[in-house]
Amino acid sequence: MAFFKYGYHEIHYVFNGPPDQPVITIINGLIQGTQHWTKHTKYFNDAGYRVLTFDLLGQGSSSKPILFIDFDENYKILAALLDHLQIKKTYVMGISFGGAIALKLAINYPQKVKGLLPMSTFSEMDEQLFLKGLILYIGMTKIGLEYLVDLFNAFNFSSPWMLQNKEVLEISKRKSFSYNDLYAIQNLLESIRNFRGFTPELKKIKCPTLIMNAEFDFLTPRWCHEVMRKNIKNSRLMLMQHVCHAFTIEIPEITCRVVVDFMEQVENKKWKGDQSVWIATDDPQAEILAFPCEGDHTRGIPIFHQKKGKVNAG
Amino acid sequence: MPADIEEDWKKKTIAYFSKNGLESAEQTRISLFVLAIKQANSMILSKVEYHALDWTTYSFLHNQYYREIELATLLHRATAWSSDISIYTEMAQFAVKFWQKTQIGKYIWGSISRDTKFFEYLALSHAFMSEIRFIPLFPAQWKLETPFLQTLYNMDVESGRLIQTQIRFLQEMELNLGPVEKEMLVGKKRADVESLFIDFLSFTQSG
Repeated sequence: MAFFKYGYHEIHYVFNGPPDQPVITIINGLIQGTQHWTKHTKYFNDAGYRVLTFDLLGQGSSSKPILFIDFDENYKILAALLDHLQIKKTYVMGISFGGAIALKLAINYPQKVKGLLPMSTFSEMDEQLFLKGLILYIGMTKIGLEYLVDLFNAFNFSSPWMLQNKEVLEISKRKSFSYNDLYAIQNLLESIRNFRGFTPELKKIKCPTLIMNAEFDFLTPRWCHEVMRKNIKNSRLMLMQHVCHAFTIEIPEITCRVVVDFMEQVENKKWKGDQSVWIATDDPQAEILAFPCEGDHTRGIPIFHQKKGKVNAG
Repeated sequence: MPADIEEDWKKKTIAYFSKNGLESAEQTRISLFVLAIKQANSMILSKVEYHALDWTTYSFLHNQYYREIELATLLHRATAWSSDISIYTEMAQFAVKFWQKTQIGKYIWGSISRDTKFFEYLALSHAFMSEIRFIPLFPAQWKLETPFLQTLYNMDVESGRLIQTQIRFLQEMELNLGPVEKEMLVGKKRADVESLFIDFLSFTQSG
């Protein structure tokens, strides 16, 4: 196992893949660990990319401070880790809690980010999101870590997927209870207690950015991603069909294809960050990876903008 | 313990329990270890009943005191006690080591007030609840259906709830210590308890 010393903390990381190739760095969600990215790592390695995964402070095998974690410490640690590994520029993909860290890295260390992939994430909180966070926090502290995992699962996965993966989910719940420590996850969650929205800073992000949002993400819904799309000029929004908050786990093949396609476009200087909205295929084998989204993508029902007087009711 | 060594240690422990299960010898060892901690902790917590404390401190510690006693009683009832007397002798010796290593005696005497000594005790009890967790050391496929496993599981879950008291006081207590000093002090107590736990589980590391 590899560790990076940051102050008196140790950060566990995994860095592998063909040398001298572009690097993609993956940032975990709140209760994830490096082990959640095995499939993705293999896919990216096979596609010719080096992959860096790491446990955030408080997660998995990294140090677990007992008293305090500062939210901003997360992106500073990543920046230091990149320096330590002599990675000058990297693609950065982060999901949920990790997505917010990815955004902060791109804002504060633009020179280090070649391309950005914020997934199921947020740059500000509205009343609903704040309340959801509070419910998760209360659930964890008053009932327990497994309850938190259950709450997350309800947000994270679609019903058909959960039905097919019942046993896997039970075991992964126990594993999560085992490799996570409640107080450390609590610390991470508390680090956003004083979270201040940073939407106005999104304008500073100039690198190619592919924002990814699931069709049924009830935790960080469309508006969270719409805010990013509107504020990051060099961006596109990709909607992932049928899935929920943790689409990277539910549809890893499609996720990886979309990510690699994005990196290939950037590498080949074909990327067009035009703030357009796209829908990814729901078939991992499909030849066409994505198609433009027509209609109002911010709505839950497919409303088309029609001229007055042209709509017939039946 | 460095994280990579800890990972290896954990794997060996899981492999041991996977191979040997939880027979009365293992259950007895585990229970005696946990009970030694809970008894010592209860002795300290019992002081809250006799001291004038502010209501918040009192109510949190009072709750913790009775939960500790309840969990100890449940564990006592749920254990398949071994008839091998050598285990009890060995664990009695280990209890002495526990008292020496944690210096828990110094928190038993004297009154409770919001000072460095109380902060140290909170750090120690935080370490008991965060480091002494058995369920992560058993195979994830095990169904937690026996009274013994259920009790250990309940203790782990309950620790997550009870530890809120420690977290709150450790974070908020105003002392003449900076955040880094506080974190170091708490880290020292954690390392003490961790090494004690590793020492206790040395019977799982051979082979």
